[in-house]
Amino acid sequence: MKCLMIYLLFSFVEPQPLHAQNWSVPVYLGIPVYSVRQADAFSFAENQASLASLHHFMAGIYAERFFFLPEMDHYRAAVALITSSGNFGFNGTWSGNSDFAEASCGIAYARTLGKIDVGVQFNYYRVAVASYGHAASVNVEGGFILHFTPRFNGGMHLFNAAGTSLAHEEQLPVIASAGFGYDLSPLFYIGTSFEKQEGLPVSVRVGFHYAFHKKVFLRFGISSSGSLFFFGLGYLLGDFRIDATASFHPQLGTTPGLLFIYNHPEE
Amino acid sequence: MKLTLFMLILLLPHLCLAQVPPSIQQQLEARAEAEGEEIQIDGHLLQQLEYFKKHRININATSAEELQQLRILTDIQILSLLQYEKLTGKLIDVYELQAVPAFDLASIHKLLPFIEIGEAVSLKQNLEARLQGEHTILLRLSRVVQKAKGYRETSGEHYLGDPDHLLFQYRFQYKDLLYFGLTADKDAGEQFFKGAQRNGFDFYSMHVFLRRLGWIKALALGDFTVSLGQGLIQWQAYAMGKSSSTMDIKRTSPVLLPYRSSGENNFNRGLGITIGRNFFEATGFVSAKKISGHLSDDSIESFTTMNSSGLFRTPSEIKWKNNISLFSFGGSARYEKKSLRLSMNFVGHQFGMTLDKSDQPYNYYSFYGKRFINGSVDYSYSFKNFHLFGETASDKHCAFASINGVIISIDRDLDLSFLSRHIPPAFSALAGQAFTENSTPSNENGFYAGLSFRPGPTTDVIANDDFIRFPWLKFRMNAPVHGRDYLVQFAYHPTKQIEVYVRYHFKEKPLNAVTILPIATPESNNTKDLRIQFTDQLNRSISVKGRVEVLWFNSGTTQAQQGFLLFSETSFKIFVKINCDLRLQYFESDGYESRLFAYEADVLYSSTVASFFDEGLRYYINTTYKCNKNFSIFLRWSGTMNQNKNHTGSGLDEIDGTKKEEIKVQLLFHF
Repeated sequence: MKCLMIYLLFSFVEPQPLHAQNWSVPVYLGIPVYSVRQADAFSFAENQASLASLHHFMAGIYAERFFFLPEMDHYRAAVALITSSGNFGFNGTWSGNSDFAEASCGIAYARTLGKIDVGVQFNYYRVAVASYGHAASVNVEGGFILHFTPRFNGGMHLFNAAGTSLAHEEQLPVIASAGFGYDLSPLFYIGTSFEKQEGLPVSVRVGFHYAFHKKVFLRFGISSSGSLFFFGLGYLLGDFRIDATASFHPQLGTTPGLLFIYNHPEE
Repeated sequence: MKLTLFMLILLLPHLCLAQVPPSIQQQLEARAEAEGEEIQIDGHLLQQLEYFKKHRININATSAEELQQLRILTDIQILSLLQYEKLTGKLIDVYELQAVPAFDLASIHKLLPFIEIGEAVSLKQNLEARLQGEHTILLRLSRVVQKAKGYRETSGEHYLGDPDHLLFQYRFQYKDLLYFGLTADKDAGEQFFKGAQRNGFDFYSMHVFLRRLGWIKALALGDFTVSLGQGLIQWQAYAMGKSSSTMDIKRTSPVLLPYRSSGENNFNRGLGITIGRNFFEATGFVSAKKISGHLSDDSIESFTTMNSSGLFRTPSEIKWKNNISLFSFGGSARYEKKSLRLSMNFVGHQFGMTLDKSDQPYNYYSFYGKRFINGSVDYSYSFKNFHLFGETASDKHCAFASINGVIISIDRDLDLSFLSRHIPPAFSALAGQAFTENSTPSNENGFYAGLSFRPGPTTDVIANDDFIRFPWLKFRMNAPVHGRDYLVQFAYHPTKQIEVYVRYHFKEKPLNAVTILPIATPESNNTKDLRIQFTDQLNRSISVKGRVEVLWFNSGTTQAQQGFLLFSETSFKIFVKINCDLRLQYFESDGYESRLFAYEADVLYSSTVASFFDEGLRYYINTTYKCNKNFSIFLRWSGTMNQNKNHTGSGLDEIDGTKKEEIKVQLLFHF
């Protein structure tokens, strides 16, 4: 069923610590993870088990520019394939510029086991620094989501539990997170998550989704990591969805973003 | 190996079929947090819970002592049930429990796995049936896989024995009426049938215990525990402190219990007997045993500390083994009619040497000497929906201490509890263990309030607040201080299979400041802890449990530390006979003050509350194979990994490498 919605999405960009690796998923993408209604092609970046709640083919791209700095562009693409034996996802990211660039690609698999969905993803990560060369590694992440009730869900996720390293013994961080989500109605959802990246303080996020029109929705929330406030608007245009987002860091400024998703109509 | 481990969490969304009820798990965690160290639970409580699961209590022929051992019902509920049966006769169906005043659905639900409805039996049938109880033989072997420093050294201070921890137990039990058994335990590092342990095991224990033989209410031979009043002068049974069980503020236990643990302390060895008729009951006990203590540097006739670890692995530890005699005696006279209970208690302890105390200001009032005498009076009384209790005690120097409390069932869905304690610094009791912040009842005044509220069929709210004052100095407190400890918990259980709770715990406990000045004064230290935990029984054989916990120590100051813990645990059944529990946990804390505690399931009759600080991954797999109704095998493999360190542990327990793993095997025969 086609429907036209105007999405004005203000991407939420979570301010990352300004060091080499950028590990956390942009917080805007992670809002609907623990929702069975609002999950989309990018939700499984936060918790691969979310892939199991998708029912039709989806593909999307996302771009943001940290604090309006061209040297800090971030791009992300995702595809979700639905099969009778579980769902598959593919995603890729690229950040940085010609002097310093990080890239990763991953293959995810998830399936539902009734009241619980589980998912896993294998990633190839590469970092390249001009004049220094590059390094790469493979890591694994995965998680599960429990459907306590048809509206109330919760889950956990662990990234790089095995503690893999890049060359020269630089260890990639372990990231553990847990979250809960409640679909108050088809129009309103609230979700929260706790994330702990190795070596950094705990980050607590709360996000809301509100579809105040059948073609338009609003998403907003806060994150304790960097005292960040974020919001965005989305618009449905046929099988496409366009999101424009923005986030605000008290010292570093604004980060805009844009997202496109294609939803293959259900047969 | 690491990938396999990681995949296991995802592929096994199963649930923990916990041996120990969740409420008791929380109590044990709270106790470990209060004591600040890991605790191993291996004793009477776990065995009783497991026994009553298999041999359910006949609710129509039970006693208050038997129901107390489940640790599920409060005293008001037990009294209410027994009075209900007296008024209306025996219960016909478990659903009738809903008609018992003070019983709520949550308590009934927790009680159901342990009870059944049956007919009362005569004393003759009872005596014959006692000899048809259950025999159990348990053999447990555990070992840390990696070799610690103490086993690599061959000279100086090192472990003389091998790294195996060996436990053998034989037990016979018929309900709570007849027990006898033998326990033999050897800790890792101790010798076995050689050197200082020519008799084989390091620790042996034997018990014979009977209950309800006419006017002999209880008879204990061998090793047993004694618990009196509210614990001001003597308490050796399982004891709860502050936790989310806000109504469990009253000490309840039979006076005499058999000692069935492998712990090498906190029991009596000798004879105890309780006799009673009509409304009167009297208990007496004598005990003579050896304990281990460090002798004073300047005298062989006095000692300074007692060895409570029970470890005798190195030459210096063996030197102090069982070097001090301890003779204990005591008794209690009780009057009990309807809902009133009055008791007079006394205990005495005589050491073979003088207990010295170190010359520190905080030790000014510490007990010392050869002989310790305590007496007390305790009471409990129920009036309508009020249950009052308390104890007033004195030591040989006439220092008086008092604890008084009340539990009020305002409504089926609302309970309140209050407890006041006044324990001067001069009061001392060698084996006291009361509802206090300190591990022993001394130097503490406080007022505790608790609330348990059930606003709806799917929600519970629990809150408690404790105002504490230490009127004299303590270790790491160079002045009298105030403290505070409060907890709020909200639980949501939409179905019987699902529970999600959020808990916030705040604790303020001043400690000496870190300073270059000659005398440090206490400054405020506070801990804030937020925990979210969920449990979901997916079906009859699969369940999932998870927790995320964050702790902030002195947040906003230069000494701020943060701790984080997240675990996922699953349990499942394979082919009917095999049960598995899997846990994977990530923890990270900035330092020792922000360490976190988590209850861990173990092989049957054993569990641990472990502490976690620094950073790493923790995992364990428990597997139970029930070969047939008489024989079971338990396996446990656990480990902790920390990639950022090249050794774990310290001293003789230091292990090279990034991980420490332990394997445990247990064989259990029932016949």
